[in-house]
Amino acid sequence: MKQYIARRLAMAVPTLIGVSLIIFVIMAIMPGDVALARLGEAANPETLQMVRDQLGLNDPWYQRYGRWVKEMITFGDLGESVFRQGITIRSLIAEHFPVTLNLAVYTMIVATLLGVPLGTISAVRHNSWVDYFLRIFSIVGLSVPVFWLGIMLILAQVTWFGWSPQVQWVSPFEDFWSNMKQMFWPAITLGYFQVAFIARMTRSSLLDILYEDYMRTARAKGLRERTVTIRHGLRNAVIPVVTVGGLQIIALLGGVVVTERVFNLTGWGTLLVSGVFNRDFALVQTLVFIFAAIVVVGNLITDMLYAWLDPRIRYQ
Amino acid sequence: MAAEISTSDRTDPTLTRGAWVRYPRSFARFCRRSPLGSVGVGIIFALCIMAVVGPYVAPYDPEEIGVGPKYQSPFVGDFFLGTDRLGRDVLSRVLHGAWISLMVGVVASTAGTLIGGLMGLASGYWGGKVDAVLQRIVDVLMAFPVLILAMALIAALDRSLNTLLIAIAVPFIPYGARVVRATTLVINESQYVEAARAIGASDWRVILRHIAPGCLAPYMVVLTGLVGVAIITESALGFLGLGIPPPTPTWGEMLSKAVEDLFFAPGVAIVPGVFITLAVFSFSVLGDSLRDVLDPRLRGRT
Repeated sequence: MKQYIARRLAMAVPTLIGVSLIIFVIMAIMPGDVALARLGEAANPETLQMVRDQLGLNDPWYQRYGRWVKEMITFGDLGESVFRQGITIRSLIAEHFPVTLNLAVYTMIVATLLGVPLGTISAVRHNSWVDYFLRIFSIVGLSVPVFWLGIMLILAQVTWFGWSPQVQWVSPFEDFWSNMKQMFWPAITLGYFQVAFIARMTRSSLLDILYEDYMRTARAKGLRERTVTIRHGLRNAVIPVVTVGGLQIIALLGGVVVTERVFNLTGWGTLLVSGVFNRDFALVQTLVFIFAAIVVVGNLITDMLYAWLDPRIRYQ
Repeated sequence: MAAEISTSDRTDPTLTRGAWVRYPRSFARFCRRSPLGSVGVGIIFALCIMAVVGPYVAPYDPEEIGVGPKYQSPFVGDFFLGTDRLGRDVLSRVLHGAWISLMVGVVASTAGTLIGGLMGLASGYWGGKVDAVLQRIVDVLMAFPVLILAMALIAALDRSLNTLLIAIAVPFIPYGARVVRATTLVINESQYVEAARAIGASDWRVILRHIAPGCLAPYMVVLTGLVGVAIITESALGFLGLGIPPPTPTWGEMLSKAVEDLFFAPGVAIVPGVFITLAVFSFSVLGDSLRDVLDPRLRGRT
């Protein structure tokens, strides 16, 4: 197991380096630069040149790349934001982090609490009307755009309950109910896709297992049906569900961006969108790297969970 | 004369009937095996007609401001689906948006997976160093969520249709590469490839004539599913205000102001979303059915 972890860790490092290089190249072909964005189009060339020198934009690319990587590794301030002057990028990212974390955690709770049981019911009662209903429910969940679902939920709330969105985010540790009131619908919006995804995976992998010999044996020795399904069936069925954890993280991060926009939450998604609009390339490049790094780390954790759950993987 | 008779003897009678008979037949078989898949085909067909014919039958100019009063409700008066905040006809905008959505969805996903597919062929066929390098690229691209990589590319380039196509195509490269590489590895070991090599076929001939056709089925399955993802990504970018710049009507862009207008014109918020959902639904259902029909091992599962 230790060897397996070491091997996977060693593979993640070049991927992260590659990710940072690609982002750096994309941002380097971006027209205009920070100096221009800060001073405006009308700035005279000498001042522009001076600011560029000050910010080190005239250095060769490898020096700029090296500086960026060093700043990220040492948690440096990563430079100053273009559109909110005087505020460092590190503090902008730190400031917007809790909302996104909050949304992601609630979404994952919704997804796991609903996805696995719904998939199990669907598989155990397969080809019944419950199964058909749940299958349609999950196909729709995979097709509805997150942002449109959010808009529709807001519309329903407003028409039927006279609800109005809260403006300021409140930490769940400060005021749990107030936080719940604000984050519940965003979590449901983002969670629907995840629930659908997990339910579908659970259903199909449990269906494969349901007719295995060891299931029959478990029944034959007189175990209750529930014990057979959960202890013998589900425990094996969740392994394939865990393996697609990486894909779920990708979907989750993409969904976070649009969900935050719909519900006006001030998290990383909103920050990224405003960074793109304001051509704040230092902010965008770091934020995009963080998103990709989360995926890489998520995949790493997924692989380790998989190896831990299924010993055959470790020795391959 | 004699030669003619002998060829027609050897030919399978179903083959001589020509494509007009064969394709509808295999399509009918597909529909029987997968009713949901045929629903998907039906919706895609309807959306395609809408995209092609829509702009000609649209009652108003989709970009013209003030063809009617602002926030006109649907089903009343001259505007079947009502009007938006600038008094533009929603029906005309939805019809025009269909073309953009479907075109971007199909072109971007095909371009991305095709580049990926070629990488996959090279990777699987030559292996070794080629494979190692290409696989690293695939791993790196795979680390980016599709929407976020697209946003980064749009930030770096200007905002236009071409940028949008590139921004959506690039994130799809690894998905095409993975499936084609896996299939290539299997086919490369097969006897007919060995036989082709034995009679002295060149690398290119083996790849194009013997391996690539075998990769087509799994590639199509992945591509069909990804068209839906491309459509959803295009509309998400439009919703975020990063799609094709206004006034061009796209489904995503129509929704971008929908939250603010929710109380005045719920119709504006509802209609484009229904079409996006239908488009994504039909392509992902078709992708699933193709997989079920083409891969007997998975038959019977969703």
